[in-house]
Order: sequence, then C-alpha cells, then structure tokens
Amino acid sequence: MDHEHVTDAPRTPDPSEAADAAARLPAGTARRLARQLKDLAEPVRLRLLSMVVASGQEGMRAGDLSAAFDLTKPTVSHHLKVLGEAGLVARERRGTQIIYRSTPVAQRLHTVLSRFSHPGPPGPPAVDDRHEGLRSVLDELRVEERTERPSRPERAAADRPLPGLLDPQDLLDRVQERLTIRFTGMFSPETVRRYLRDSYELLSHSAAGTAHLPALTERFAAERLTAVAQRDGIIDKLVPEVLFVCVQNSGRSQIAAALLRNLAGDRVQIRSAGSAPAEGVDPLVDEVMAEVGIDLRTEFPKPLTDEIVHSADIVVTMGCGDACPVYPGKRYLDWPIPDPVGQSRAVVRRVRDDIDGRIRAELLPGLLG
Amino acid sequence: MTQVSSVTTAGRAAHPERPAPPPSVEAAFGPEAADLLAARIKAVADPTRLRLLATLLNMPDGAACVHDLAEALETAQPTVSHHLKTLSDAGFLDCAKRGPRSWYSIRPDRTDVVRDLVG
Repeated sequence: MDHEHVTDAPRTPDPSEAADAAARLPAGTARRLARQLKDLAEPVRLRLLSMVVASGQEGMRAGDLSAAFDLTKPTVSHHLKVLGEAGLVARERRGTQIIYRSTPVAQRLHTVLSRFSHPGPPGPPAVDDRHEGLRSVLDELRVEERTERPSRPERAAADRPLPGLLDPQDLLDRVQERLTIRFTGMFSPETVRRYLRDSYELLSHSAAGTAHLPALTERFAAERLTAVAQRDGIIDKLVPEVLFVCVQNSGRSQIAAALLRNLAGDRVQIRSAGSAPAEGVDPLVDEVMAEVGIDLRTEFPKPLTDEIVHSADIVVTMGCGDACPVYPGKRYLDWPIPDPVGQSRAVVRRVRDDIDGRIRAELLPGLLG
Repeated sequence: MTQVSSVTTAGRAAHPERPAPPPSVEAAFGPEAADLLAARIKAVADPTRLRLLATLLNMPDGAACVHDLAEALETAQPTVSHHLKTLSDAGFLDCAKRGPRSWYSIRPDRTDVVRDLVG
C-alpha cells in the first residue's frame, strides 16, 4: 500500500473511492468486532489475561489473582468470568482451590495485544513471516449471544445488581421469596432481604462453585436468621447450641461439627464457621470423615458472623486466634489443634480422633447430661 | 454439592506437599501498560471508527477527507470529525491540511496493526 505521498499528490476527491473502501468492512462485522474489542478494553481484564497467560501450565490461583488488585473479589471474579465466557481462561478446581489457566487462543491474543500496544518503528512494515493479527484471533473467540437486553427500569440504590455472577438476581429473588415465607411473623421481608444480600456478599468472597452460590446463600442466610431469632428470643431455643470456629471452616470446625452432630443428633444445635473461610471443604478431610461413615459433601465453609456467635451457648475455637468475638454468658473453649489442611492422611486422621476425644470428654457430659 | 466429591481425587493429587512454584509474571502487562493498551483498544472499539480505519486503509492513496468519509459511511460530518479526532488522539491517524480540507491517513507505524484489525 503506497500512501506515503499524501502531501505531494493533491487531487480532487472522488467520493466513490471512499464508498468502495468503506464497503470493505460491512457495518455488521464492524459492530461485532467493536463489541469484542470493547469487552477487552478494560485494564483489569487485560492484566488478568496477561497474568494467567504468563503463569503458563501451572495456572494461577484465584486468590493470587484477586490479591494482585485493589478490588473486591466479586469484581475480579466478574472479570474472570467475562474472560471465561470468551474462551480465554479455563477454570479448574484443585483441592480447595480454584485455578485459572489460559487457553491456546488466549496466548495468541496476548502476543497480538503486545504488538498492538507497541507498534513497530515508523517506516515500511517489517517483512517478517506473516504474523497473526488481532482480528483473526478475535474471530476465534466465543461471542455469547447478547441481544441488547432492554435496560430494566431505574433501580433504587439498594437494588443495584449484585457483584460476582452473571445474573444471580432471578435466583436470589426466588430465594428471598422462600425465606420470607419461612420467617413470616418473625422478620419483615426487608430484614430477610438484608440478611440475604449480606450473606450473598460474604459467601461470594469464598464459596467454591459459583453455580451453587444462590443455594448456599439460602442455607447460610436461613442459619443466620434463625440465630438472630434465637438470640432475640423470637423463637425458643429448645436445645443448647454449639459453635465450632477455625480459620478456614474447611477442616477442623467441619470435622468437629460433623462428629458432634453424629453423636448428639438433634439434641444439640450445631454450627461452624471460619475466620477466613476457604473455597471448599478440604477433600482429604472429606475422605477421612467418610472412613468413619460421615458425609461432609453437603457442607461448605461459612464466614464467622456476629449473630452466630451471639446465639451460641458454647463456642469452641480452634486456631482462629482472637478473631472470634467474646460475649458474656457463654462458655468458651479453645482447643489447640493443628490445621489438617494440606497434611498427610495420617495427620488428618489424628486430628479427627483428637477432636472426637475432646468432644466426648469435654462437651458431651455437659450437653447430654 | 456433588461436584465437590467428583473432583476430590483429581484435586488432591496435586494438592499436598508439592506447592506450585510461584508463577512467573514477567510477561504480564503492568498496571500502566494495561491502562495504555485498554485506552488504545477502546479508541478502536467502535463500529464507526473501525469502518473509518477500514476506509482509510483501502483508499487508493491511503488518505481521505472528512467530507468523503462522511458520505461513504452515510454518517453526519460532525460525527465523523469526532471519531477522527478520537483516532488521531490515540495515535492511529495523521492529519494533513491541504487547502480548505483536512486529509486523514493512517500513521505509517500503525498500518500493520490497522491492517490486522480491519484489513
């Protein structure tokens, strides 16, 4: 293309030339391309893509990715989700962790983008082997059907979309309706809504499969509302309540809660929480509990919240330091038990049996009389 | 949450004792590079601007004036001027004033990138 003589070739404009040239990129193609570019034109997204690509085969842990930004985890997961939908990153569980890995097309896109941001020196185009262009890579990306959704009527501030998920709104609306019915006469719909949203926000920072998030949120919010109701005397507490707290709510406190539940049945109300909840129950803990016939698969790490502590009669802490608030009128026990997460099977078994012994010796006599 | 159990075996194989080496972030765009790149992509992330680039790229002598571009894209001149300014500010275009008209062309050092994008 010979266009370096713009200034020394004055000529009369020929509109038909421009029309022909314009026709080379049809409006529809331009719109689709513009949309893909717009999805990319986001600094956080570009950095996430770049970090995941740079991590190669190993991939990056979700936690490390969000730690690199001064943003909330739901915001970072949203960007990762957009990259995932475009087919640029793949999400994988490894133990209790979520790992993000780049796809081959992401690696190519990254190369092309580097060139896009650092154009070659002025002058004739480098005649290297025919390199790939941004467009040809973008053409391979998945474009989800996004028929411009009619924008919803203006929402009140409290109504703003929840962070993190594609559109959890519909699911959460259903959850809210169910919880409102369940707590009729105890809490106003507004209170139910507030706890539901807060629970969602808390869990979205830790919970494993985001697909399960609305369901887990329902359980978590229901537990918290029940705890508030008991604390405030709205419902009678028929049985004593024990709260187990550790750091991740992924090992020790899950083991303890499950063991006591199997020993005391419904004669005791049992809850567990973590001061910094992990994304899922540790798989080895899950297996070691299965060895004694206890299924942890429906359990999930929950953050430590105030009302759960308030409503408990006995609080057992295991390695969470002073993260657990101390309220008068409760019995506090601190068990110095090492974190089994990441340890060998033998260590995890020892932890399980240690907790079992303490429950039988220190808790059961007081609870069951 | 059956999902948890289905991934436990695969998950744990890589889990204990062998922590992953810290991933290299050498190739990663830093915050400033990412801002710059995002701004540059945003400058072209518009259907009209993409079509302007395509038009300029495919002009026989690589240049066109606002009037012709507006006609070719069937878009109002002020709109075209605005988009041309955005592209110029982002460093994609050169502008040469000749007589009463301004002639726009793709900057030589961006021709490759533009051809990759809309060629």
